[in-house]
This record gives sequence, structure tokens and C-alpha cells, in this order.
Amino acid sequence: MFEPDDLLVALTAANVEFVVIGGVAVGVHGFVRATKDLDIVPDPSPENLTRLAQLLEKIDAQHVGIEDFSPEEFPYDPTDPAQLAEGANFRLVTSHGPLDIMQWVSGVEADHAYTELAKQALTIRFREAEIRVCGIEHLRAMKKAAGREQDLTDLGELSSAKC
Amino acid sequence: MAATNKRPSDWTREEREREERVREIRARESCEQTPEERLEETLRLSRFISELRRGLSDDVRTG
Repeated sequence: MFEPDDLLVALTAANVEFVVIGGVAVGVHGFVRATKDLDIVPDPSPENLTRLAQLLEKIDAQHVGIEDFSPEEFPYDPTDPAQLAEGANFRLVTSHGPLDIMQWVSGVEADHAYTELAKQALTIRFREAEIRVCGIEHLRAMKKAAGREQDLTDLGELSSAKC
Repeated sequence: MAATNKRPSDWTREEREREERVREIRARESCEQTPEERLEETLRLSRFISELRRGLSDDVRTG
């Protein structure tokens, strides 16, 4: 079961700093559609990654297998701040559903994508907190770089939206 | 909210124009919402679709 609102509430309640990318960002920028997971880029500061790691443990985050790769084949433990700090991306499932932790992203040229994304991110009110969502130009660059069918559809719809 | 149920490759010029107009109206309506409203709608829709998928798999198991 995917509960993206509960995931966002859990992240903000744990004071995790992050920028939302992916399908949720596409919705915020004008093409509202369902998405299967929440994609976030966390602030790479050690304090923030510690808060994120603690939350991931609390919400029972586990690796998701991809095609013939089983979850056990992914060596990094996202609930260990030191391993999170290595800068890898994690495709996880939690007690609130799928959560992708992205620390590098195609289309955003930076060692830490967060630093670059944060420069153009929108800050929007969400329940009792504020969250940051990547800017439209970064979103377009990421979609163009990813180039899958859904990404190309999103690019077309975002061009029509011009919010 | 398609204006025709034909495949895009079979659309006439008129049907293509109608589809484009529908797309423009949807885009305009979406842009009339605030980013906060679009965020909430995206989250609501994603949760709803997830619930539907779960219900579908439950039906398959019990059926």
C-alpha cells in the first residue's frame, strides 16, 4: 500500500531536509497524475543523513529487488548514516510504501544533486510543515535525461501546462 | 478525458485538433490550482490508485 502523504508527514516530522523530484514534482508543476513511489533527494549533511537513517529504520525501510537482482544483493544499509553518506541511490519499500532516496540524478550535474536542486526548489506548504519541490527546469532536465516513455509523456504534458 | 477512443495513429486531423484542445483545457484547469492543491491531489490520486491495485490483487486471491 502506497501512502505518500504519510511518508511526507513522517519525513517532515523527523526534520529531514530534502527536495521532492519524480512524479510528485510533476504533479506540483501542473501535470497531476498518480505515481507509484515518492522520490526524494536528501540534504547530504551528516546531521540530516543521521535523521533520515533513523527514520528509515523506524518505518522499516528495506531494499526492493530489481529484475534479477534480489534485495540481498544490494550491499549498502540505508539505516546506517555512514553508508548513506557514501552517496548511493536507494530504492526502498517502507511501512508507508515505496520510497526512492536519490543522491545523484541523471540530468543534474553535481556530486550531490541536493546542492544543485535546492537552488531552484519551490517551498510549498504541506499540512503543518513546508516541503521543497525541485524547480521546473531541473525537473525537465531529469525527465529528458531519463528518457523513458513516462518521462517523455511528462515532458509533453509539462510543456502544455506552463504553470 | 479523451475526445475520441481511437488510437492516435488513426486520428483524423479534426480528432487531433480536438485532442489537443482537451489537453489545453486540462492543462489550464490544472494551472488554476495552487502548487499546494496540486500536491494534495497528486498524493490523493496516488494513494487511491494504490488502493485500487491492492483491491484488485485481493479479488484475484479470493476469486
